[in-house]
Amino acid sequence: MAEPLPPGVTKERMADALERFRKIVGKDWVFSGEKVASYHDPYTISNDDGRYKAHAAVAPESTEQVQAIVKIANEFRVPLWTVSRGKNFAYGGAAPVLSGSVVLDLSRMNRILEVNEKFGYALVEPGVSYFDLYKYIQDRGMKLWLDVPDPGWGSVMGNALDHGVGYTPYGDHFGVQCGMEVVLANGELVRTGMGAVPGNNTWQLFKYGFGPYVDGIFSQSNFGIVTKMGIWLMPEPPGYQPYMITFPREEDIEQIVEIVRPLRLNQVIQNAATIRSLVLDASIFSTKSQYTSDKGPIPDSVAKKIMADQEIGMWNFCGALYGPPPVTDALWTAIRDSFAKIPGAKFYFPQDRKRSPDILLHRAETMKGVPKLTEFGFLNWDGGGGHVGFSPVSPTTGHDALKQYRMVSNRVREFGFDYSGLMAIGFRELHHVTVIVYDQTNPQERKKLDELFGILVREAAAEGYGEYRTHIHYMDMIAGTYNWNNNALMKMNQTIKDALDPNGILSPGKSGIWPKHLREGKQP
Amino acid sequence: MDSVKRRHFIGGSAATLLVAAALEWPRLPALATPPSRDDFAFFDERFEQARRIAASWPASIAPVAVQSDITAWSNLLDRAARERTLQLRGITTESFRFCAAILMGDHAEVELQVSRLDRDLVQWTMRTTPKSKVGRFNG
Repeated sequence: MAEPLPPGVTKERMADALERFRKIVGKDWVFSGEKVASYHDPYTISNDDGRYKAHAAVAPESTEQVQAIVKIANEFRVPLWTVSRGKNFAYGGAAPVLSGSVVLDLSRMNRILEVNEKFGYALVEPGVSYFDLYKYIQDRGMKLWLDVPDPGWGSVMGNALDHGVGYTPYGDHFGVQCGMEVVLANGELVRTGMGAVPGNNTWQLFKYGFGPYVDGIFSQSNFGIVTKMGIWLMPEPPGYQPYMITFPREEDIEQIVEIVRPLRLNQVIQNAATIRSLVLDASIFSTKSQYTSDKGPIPDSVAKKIMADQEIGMWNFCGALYGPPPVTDALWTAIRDSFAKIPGAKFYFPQDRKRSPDILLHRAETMKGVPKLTEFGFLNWDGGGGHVGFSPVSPTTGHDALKQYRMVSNRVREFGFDYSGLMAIGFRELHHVTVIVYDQTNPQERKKLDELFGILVREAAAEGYGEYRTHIHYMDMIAGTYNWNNNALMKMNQTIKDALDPNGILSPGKSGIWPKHLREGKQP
Repeated sequence: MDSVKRRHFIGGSAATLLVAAALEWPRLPALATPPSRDDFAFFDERFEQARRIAASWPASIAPVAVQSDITAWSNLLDRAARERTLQLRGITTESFRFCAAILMGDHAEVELQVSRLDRDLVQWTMRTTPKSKVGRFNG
């Protein structure tokens, strides 16, 4: 099948644009034909083969090359879909929302420009992965810890820009970014915050600079191309104690979250801890067929068997303590005494775990910033290997947690899937991430998943819950739920888009934001 | 690292055994030597079918027992894929196969053949050529 062309761009004009790109980056770094295949979505949901297909890809190695590419894209009206490393697999990978786009692959821009141990930060380019930065720090014996998401091969910058989360006290990745360099759609280069002061020495130390704080508009957006970003790193603490607490009943989630809220607000729980469901934890190191040959959601009898076999609960709270032992001892006493009120709660340190591999032993590494790929084990739960995340945000209340759990798990099971979810604990909210594992090779299953996802989004929105992040297939849908006051937020985003990118060349459709010439028939 | 300790060979020479200290990545075995027919072969030790098929492979293949997690192998495969043409095979879960292809794909052209055996297992072969030799950096 020939690569699609974007709206309004002829085959000849595209060929001319690609030739101009080759002159900038060299012929080896413009990819077309069969070499575009690696920019597809590995977990495609749509049964329409023409959707989310790139026409070509271009991989610059410098900011100057990005600037030059953007100018040509403007001249030829060629849409660019920017990816840092393209490893955001549950959300579309490197695939564009708009078919025919040229993927702007920044993975060659992989320089670690600075790691500052004294102040605890790094300045990186988009192509730097968690594995890369971890190795850099380890090789030099620096006393700094990363905060990593589950897949270690992703981009440090890309994950932060997509509002990704990790599991240490620095778990809010965009919250710990500081200072950006951005190529605007007209090719101009901007530095944010203190970076706008020539000769400054605080670009990665103070976020806000002077005037409007603009970094946020370059996250989950298509207003510019971020080519450098500062990220704060955690000093290696003088002590570290990971732990896991298991709870035996589904309904325990209400009391767990009520206990979590004051502990988190008071920073007794120091990190971005998680409360994970039975199947999510079980699926990391085992498959469903090891427990049952039946199709459909697992019954209680199988759930109990898994709990006993793997020493996990219906819910599993994984956290860690950071600091000198007298401090962590005191924090642990408060945490243990609080959760001990829940009947059947069991408390574990790594040395208490008997299985190998084991969920706490694995997470003990993640919660100290060791990048891994272990979590991909959940792909194996029920065969087929596809997954998509449904991720509404909830207040940290037991009422909301139980309500969301019931809303989502009932629907997921109704459609024949197991509930596999986690609640990632922010300061005042929970990201309730439900991972739906499906057979990506089966068009009927993809169709069923698509129907389920639409229901989940609509039902969540009806209760006032919105998703924090989503797959490219659902960006318009999710953006449509953020529609307060006659879509005022989207109207503002479109105004910014039209002002900064009048030709609409940067990532059309990202987060539901479309340029003027492609907005017909779309909200608002 | 438990997953490293757990690894073992079901055939082939003990001289090719990979040994890794705790918290250390496995070392790359003798890159200077010409590639054997299969540079890496993996089977998922948890499943009887995988054990049986791996045992039927020629002794020269020396398959390695793994589970679903490729993390302990990521550094080794990443480096090897940059440096030379590789041939791999596996009877593993989908996650191991998927992660292997993505890891190698960062630095090599990957030719992949996959067939599903049952709900848990896929049988695959992979041939990789460094992108430095074919004009491709990343994907």
